[in-house]
Amino acid sequence: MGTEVPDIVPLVTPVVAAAHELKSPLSLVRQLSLHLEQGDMTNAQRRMLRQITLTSERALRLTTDLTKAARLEDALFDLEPINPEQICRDIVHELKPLFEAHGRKLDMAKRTHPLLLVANRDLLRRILTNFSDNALHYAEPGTVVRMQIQSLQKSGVVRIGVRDFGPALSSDMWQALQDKMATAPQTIHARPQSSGLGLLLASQFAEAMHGRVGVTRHRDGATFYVELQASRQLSLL
Amino acid sequence: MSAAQHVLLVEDDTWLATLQTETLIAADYKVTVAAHATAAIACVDQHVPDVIIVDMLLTGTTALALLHELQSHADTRLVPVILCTNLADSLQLEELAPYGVQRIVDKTTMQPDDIVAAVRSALL
Repeated sequence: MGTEVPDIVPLVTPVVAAAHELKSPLSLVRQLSLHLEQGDMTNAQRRMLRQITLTSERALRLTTDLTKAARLEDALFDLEPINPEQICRDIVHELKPLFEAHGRKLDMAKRTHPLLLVANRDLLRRILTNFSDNALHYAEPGTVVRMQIQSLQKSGVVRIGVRDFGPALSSDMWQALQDKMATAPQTIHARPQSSGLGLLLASQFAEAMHGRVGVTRHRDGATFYVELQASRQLSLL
Repeated sequence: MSAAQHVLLVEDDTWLATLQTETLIAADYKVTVAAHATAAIACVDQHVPDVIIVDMLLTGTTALALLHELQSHADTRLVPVILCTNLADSLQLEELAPYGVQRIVDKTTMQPDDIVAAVRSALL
């Protein structure tokens, strides 16, 4: 047969190998939970099963991000003009059950004029899912996490931010975060008590698309954002 | 009443194999489970299935060695194959079509009934 065997598992580091290994048990936990959810049970049991399903899905997203990050240098990621609104809508739809299970909401600020940016659809989706997941765990119960798309015309980039409403970062913590960001290009843009792994991966995905991630502090929360080159396609029409 | 169509499930995770077998039997399919490629070949030698569901990473080998073997025999090369794997995001269906793969099901995101839908679709 002439077809070349695809290079399916470039296990380059123990971390990536571990991520691959974790996928099987996590997938099984999720499948078992989904099957059980189809049966009769009390509301409390149903709630706990939902939590098992959602938690395993969250862990699976992280393992997939890890394996994807390991392939950034080997694989080709097509960059194309993308309207990020649809991706944001998809993420809002996908993560709605997770946010509801935690007593929070995720939505997106509506725009009247579409914006196009240059990105890889899959990587951008992973970055924004990551930010949303991060925001979920810092947002106060009952609050809304909001995705916002804005054009920074002077710098020719489009910024997509995920704003949460939670405890403010103290000045000390904020300074420590800024110092890390200033001194290490591969910094972990994380909050205290977080390894920041997800956000580190988001940073690598952004760099693969010639973009960057960053964070803005608010008195009542934070906005994690990704900036990517604006597409000139619309202006050429 | 026609005989139930026969699914060969090649999966080395016993618990997942049991789960998928129960789902497929509930959908009126006959299921044989093989835990690795050698066992799968033995099953096929006894009875050629209507469809094969195979995990990509199997004990001792990958699915590709098994599929390559199946493609080399006239009586098995046309059996539709469904790849059910955790590696779906690394695979392209068009690259695997020469191995008889008609569908790729992502284990990390699939719903329980997706395996039945994939079998029905492959048997159309």
